Amino acid sequence: MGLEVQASNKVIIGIDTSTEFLKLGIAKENLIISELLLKVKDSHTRYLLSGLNFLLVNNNLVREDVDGFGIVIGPGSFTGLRIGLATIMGIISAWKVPAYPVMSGDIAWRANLGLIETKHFFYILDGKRKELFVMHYVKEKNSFKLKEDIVALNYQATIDIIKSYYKEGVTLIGNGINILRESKIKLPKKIKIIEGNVNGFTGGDIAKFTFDASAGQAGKIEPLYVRDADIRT
Amino acid sequence: MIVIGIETSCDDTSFAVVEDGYKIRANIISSQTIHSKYGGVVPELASREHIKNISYVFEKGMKAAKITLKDVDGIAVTNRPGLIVSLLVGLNFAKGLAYAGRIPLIGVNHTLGHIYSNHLSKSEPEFPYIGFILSGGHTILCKVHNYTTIEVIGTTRDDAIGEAFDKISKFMGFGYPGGPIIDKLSKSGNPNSIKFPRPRFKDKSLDFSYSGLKTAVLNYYRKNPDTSKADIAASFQKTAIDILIINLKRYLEKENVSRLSITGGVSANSYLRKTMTEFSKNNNIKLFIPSHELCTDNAAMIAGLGTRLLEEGKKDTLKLDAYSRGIK
Amino acid sequence: MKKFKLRTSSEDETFQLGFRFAELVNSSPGLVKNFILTGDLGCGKTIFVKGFLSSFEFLKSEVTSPTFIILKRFETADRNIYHIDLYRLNSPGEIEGIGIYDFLEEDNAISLIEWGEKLNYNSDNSVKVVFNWIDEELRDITVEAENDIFKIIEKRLST
Repeated sequence: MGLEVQASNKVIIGIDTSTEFLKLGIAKENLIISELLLKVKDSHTRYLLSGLNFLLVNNNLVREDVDGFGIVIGPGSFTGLRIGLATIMGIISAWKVPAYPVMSGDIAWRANLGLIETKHFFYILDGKRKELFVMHYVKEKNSFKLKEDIVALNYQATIDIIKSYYKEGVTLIGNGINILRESKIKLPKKIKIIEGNVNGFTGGDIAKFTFDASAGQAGKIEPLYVRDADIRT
Repeated sequence: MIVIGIETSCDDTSFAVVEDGYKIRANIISSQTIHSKYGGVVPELASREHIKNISYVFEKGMKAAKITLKDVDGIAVTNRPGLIVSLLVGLNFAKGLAYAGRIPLIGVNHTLGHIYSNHLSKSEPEFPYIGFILSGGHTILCKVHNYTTIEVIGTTRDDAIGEAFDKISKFMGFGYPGGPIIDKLSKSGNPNSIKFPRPRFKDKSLDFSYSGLKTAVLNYYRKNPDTSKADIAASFQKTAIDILIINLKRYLEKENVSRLSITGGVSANSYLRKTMTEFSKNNNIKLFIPSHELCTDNAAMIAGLGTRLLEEGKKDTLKLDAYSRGIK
Repeated sequence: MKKFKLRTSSEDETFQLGFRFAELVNSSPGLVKNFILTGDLGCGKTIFVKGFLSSFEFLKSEVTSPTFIILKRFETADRNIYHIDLYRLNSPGEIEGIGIYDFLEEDNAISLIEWGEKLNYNSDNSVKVVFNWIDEELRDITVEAENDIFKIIEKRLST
């Protein structure tokens, strides 16, 4: 992957506040040089900047060395996303550096590319309200493409959609897997599950894959709206 | 000294630039400027979605004030009280700016901000003075000792005065916001036609209550649907303002007052203005009411108050959090 | 869903009902997470919440209407209690837009939601309390809940 994307010698910071974890990472020349993972629950606002500062200081970087940010825009926690996005909006207003919006599923398959051997990849996250955020990707050459719009589905509907593809081979990542297990709905046997408790990627992965996942496009960073009733303008 | 202010405590996204604590270089309020951004029509749901407005009002305000972040000595932001998610957007934007620009951050109490709007006006009251904060969310009578210290004399124990106007307007089939509607309707009604109850507390408190009045008006309307709505509105409005006057009189029995200010959106009410002007005249009190733009939620008052806090050496760390209620 | 009716004949009684619900929640942790409070203006919803929060040692005067700022957080030693008022909100999108579900689903938190019928939200441990205006003083109050919760509430409130 990423062959057509120019190797970057820039310092990119990756940030994810969409779940109970605060994920931060630094990549330089496509190499992850440092990362931080904190379970902060709903207190991202207290730890985000001190975490970022710690990472920079620890790596002998000054604020002015940062060339851009990759930030997860969703799907995920309403409050968490707004904390992350507002902070980065403030920083980039001052530094005039670009911010690249990325979706968590796009980082997840890139970070696990060597492990996903099936045609279908489902990234499933806790969507609260007894629903899961479901991102369905299909393999194309050596990468994955989002097949449908991201949706919030109840547990049974999630299983149903997974089942409809599992003959072609399905891999799952994300904290939604444990929710399905706890809900006592049986997962089909032949499904491959990549376990882990950080939803398949780290802050460093975000930084490393930002250019690739955002197609190198710095853009307007706004939370991703998934549910029908979500506010759109 | 230049301090920028950010205010997102409820419905509006606002950004301001204030110099030396009183010169307003820019004061942008989203509901007033977003019209142009969306070509005249504000999408129904965009109003409270601060994350979509915050960068816009910031850029617009910095441009209007013709400054860059290098000119900024402090970043003041409302962090209490308010709707938590709304506060968090403004607060974290401010933190990002403060961190990136190495600029001091000052968390500001929205309620004190309202009082500070007095000091953004051409004629400001000397300290100490008595201040009313009257809005959809506040009903406070306080003694203002200096820019950053107020002493609460009385506050509502249930509904805010502006809220009572809104709810009664809506219940009688009129629209929102109810303040201007009731104000206008009352002009053709008899304010003495219906006697509504005033709150009584067992203690000697100077607190306010508008829930009882609201319920009494609604009950009256439920039982007498054919009564002139103008009479109901006028009688309600008179009682609502009387409640303020009664407490003010009781305070005057104990204390000397020579200066009084009214801030908050309800200060636009014409009956309130008339009554308070007369009352002040009769009691040798000088009355101060800032312009309407400064009375409603705005960031200039936050920047102004932030300036004074900064002068006192008050700064916050980047761990600053948001709180839905007064102090915490 | 099961329901039972009771009647309060003064503000004080509505206040006490709120207090008794809080005691009930305290003695059966996790039983009720959300109280959906329904009823017209001036029917006693906020009074009920004042009574509820008095059990957590919040003063009557501390619990003021959240209509304007929509959501107020009351922090206790082991949980947050949210006093929410959807009066000013109309569409599902507007309700979504205040991030309300993050609070409703917060671990251990309890929410009391005035105009909660505007919420399109199914949770197992919700109790609906409907306030009906009879006259100046009297209110008919209907309590609705799923069977399991209902049994406990009925037993505790009838003693």
